Amino acid sequence: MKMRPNDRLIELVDVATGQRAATELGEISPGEKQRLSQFRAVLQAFSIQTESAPTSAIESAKAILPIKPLQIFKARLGRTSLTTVGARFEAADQFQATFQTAKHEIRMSFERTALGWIVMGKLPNGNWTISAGAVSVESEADGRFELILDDIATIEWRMKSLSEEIEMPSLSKVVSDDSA
Amino acid sequence: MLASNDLESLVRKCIAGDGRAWSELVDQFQNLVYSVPRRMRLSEEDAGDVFQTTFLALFRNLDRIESVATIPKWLTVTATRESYRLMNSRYARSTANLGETDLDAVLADEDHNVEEQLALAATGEALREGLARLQDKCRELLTLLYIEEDTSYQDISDRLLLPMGSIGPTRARCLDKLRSILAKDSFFSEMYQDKSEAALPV
Repeated sequence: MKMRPNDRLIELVDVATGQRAATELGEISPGEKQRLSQFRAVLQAFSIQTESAPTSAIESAKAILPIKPLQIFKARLGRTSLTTVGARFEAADQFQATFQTAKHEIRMSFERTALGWIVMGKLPNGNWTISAGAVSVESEADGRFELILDDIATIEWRMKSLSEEIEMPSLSKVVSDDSA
Repeated sequence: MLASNDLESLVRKCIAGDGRAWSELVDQFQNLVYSVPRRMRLSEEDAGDVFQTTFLALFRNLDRIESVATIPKWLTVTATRESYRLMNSRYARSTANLGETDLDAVLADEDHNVEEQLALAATGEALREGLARLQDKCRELLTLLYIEEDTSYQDISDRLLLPMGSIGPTRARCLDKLRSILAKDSFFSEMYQDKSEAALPV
């Protein structure tokens, strides 16, 4: 009776795991021989001992460079180039806006292109990580950054440096807050 | 494993003093580092010392590491040498003067251990990467069978909702998929093939 390919595969794996004697395989083709040796190599690799460090050891290693608490700032809309505050920015192809916190000023420009919205911005000097929804970029040392977004209306922003984090609500939120 | 770009960004942030990035880096490599002294049969306490010393050395040398791709290797070598140093200091305390011949043997043994640990770490890492690319069910089955200890077929059947009679055939198919992935990654070296082929009937 002709053996199904799956049965032969099971036999090869059984031999590799030691559950069946190699002699039980009968005639073995060069391809099967290679496959068998590869199964053995995989199983051998599984036997390499790896161990997760205890939590206390991990915490001690992390304490080499402790996490500084972040000072959190909330940004609100300062100025915008849209003709009237509250104008539908979704309808514009290009506009600028300035956002402010108690300590920072963030200048941003928005331009609609075939690729999406190109957003360019300038934060205070320093290394910032700018997150807009799922998109994240690093700023230049002078605080400049650029990214492309599909949507600018509902995306919320986070701008994080070593010691500070700026939270900026979505454009639709800041505009409606400002016009209220 | 992190992509090289992500690792580079993480390292840059660590150098700039970002504790969150350092924390991520430790999480990323803790398993690799801790496994070295444990494979060399050091106690949990000694392995903890090696772990701390190795990460401290990494932190002090981060700005001197030219390519982030070498970090796993750097960590493995450092952890192996630290393990060896600890073992030797214990040995030296319990024996009188170490002769020149003994010292040569110790150094040769240390080199051998570094090579061995590097090979084990690389193989283990390649296997983990291959496993991560399997579909969930296969990855879970192979993990339960070969990584988590003492899992019975009944437990596997219950956890994966797989009839007991299907475990063997499914295992074979999953191992074959993993084998295929690893083969594309050039996982199978001559060394492995020579060793295992020797045991085959001609």
